[in-house]
Amino acid sequence: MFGIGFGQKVAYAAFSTIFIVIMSAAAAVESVKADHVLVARSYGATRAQVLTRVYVPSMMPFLLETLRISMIFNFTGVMIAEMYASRTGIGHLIASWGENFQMPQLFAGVILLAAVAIAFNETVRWLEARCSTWRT
Amino acid sequence: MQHLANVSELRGAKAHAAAIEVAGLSHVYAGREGQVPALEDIALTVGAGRFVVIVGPSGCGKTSLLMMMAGLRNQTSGTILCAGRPIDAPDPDRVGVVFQEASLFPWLTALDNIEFPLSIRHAPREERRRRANAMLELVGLQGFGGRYPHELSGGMKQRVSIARGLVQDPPVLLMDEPFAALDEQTRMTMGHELLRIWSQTAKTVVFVTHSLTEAVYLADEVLVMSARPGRIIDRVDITLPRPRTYEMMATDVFGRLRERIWQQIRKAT
Repeated sequence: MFGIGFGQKVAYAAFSTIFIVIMSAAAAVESVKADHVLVARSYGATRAQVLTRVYVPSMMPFLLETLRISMIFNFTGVMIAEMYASRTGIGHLIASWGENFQMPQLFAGVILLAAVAIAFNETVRWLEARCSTWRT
Repeated sequence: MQHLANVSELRGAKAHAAAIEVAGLSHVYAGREGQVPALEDIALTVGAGRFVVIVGPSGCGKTSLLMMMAGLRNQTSGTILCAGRPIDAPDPDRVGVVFQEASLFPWLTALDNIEFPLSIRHAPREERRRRANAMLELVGLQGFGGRYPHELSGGMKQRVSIARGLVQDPPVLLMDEPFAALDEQTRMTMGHELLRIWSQTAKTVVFVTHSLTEAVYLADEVLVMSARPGRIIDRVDITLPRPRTYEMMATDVFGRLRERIWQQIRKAT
């Protein structure tokens, strides 16, 4: 539907995570305590302030967790899409290096990919830990 | 209001004007089986500087009444005046609210929690810090400003809540069962601390509880509410002298006052 170019990859990545994102976003909103909203309102907070001062900090740990999990799905999803249905991208390169027995290139590609994924994962995990010291 | 006038004289010039006046207040909400009357024809006057406690059985609408005084909930009919003007939306200049346990923001430190009402109104940073620190000292938590709520005990959390309610210096403090989740000992200590803070700040306090001992120990005047629909069925003047001491709880007067309130509540349920 989106061809085999860049658009297809984006569409595939979006499709593979959209349900996770929707469900966790709903859970994140649920996690906001009604009492906290009431407290903010009693001190005269406007709607925008309730949003930024209560909703966002309450939801932040959930949202970062979601970001991390959906990026894992995205990464794998896009790689698979590239390997099987693309003429560009590192996934496609890895697939063709493998088929041509170009081992050094193949391993370089795989290791690079792993490094990027780990770096991303750890960065978000670190952020998550910083934003959720208050969660016991 | 004969008795109110008398007590005002006793307390001298401090108590004369009414801080809160509620008249003809009723509330009906739509339940599963049609319209449910929650509050019926509530009328009460809280004199400035007085400590008034509202007691009643669970579900009698005492918390609802308090939320209406805070402007957080609308009544079906009737008026609530605070400092002579109606309350129809939250007004932190006139009313501070202290909620039940766990109402502190867990992602903010104690000091940031206390500053919250000021930061909502964009008070300058230095002033915020200064006032929050003064409040922290008032409630006896010097040195704990950097702690997060989960690092504080239940009693300390409620101290922070009280400080947060007072930081904007509102003339009226509404307290919704603030010590309900605390153990008995901490609860007594906190009651005593609250009286100390009250006498230092000269606020008008409306305090909701279902502990009769707490009510008699703290109050100038106890309002007793009936079960749903909530009505005020008795006003009891607590004639015990101030400052209150723990020893007073063992006195006959204390026991008689407590007994009278208990009888009223029993009759009403």
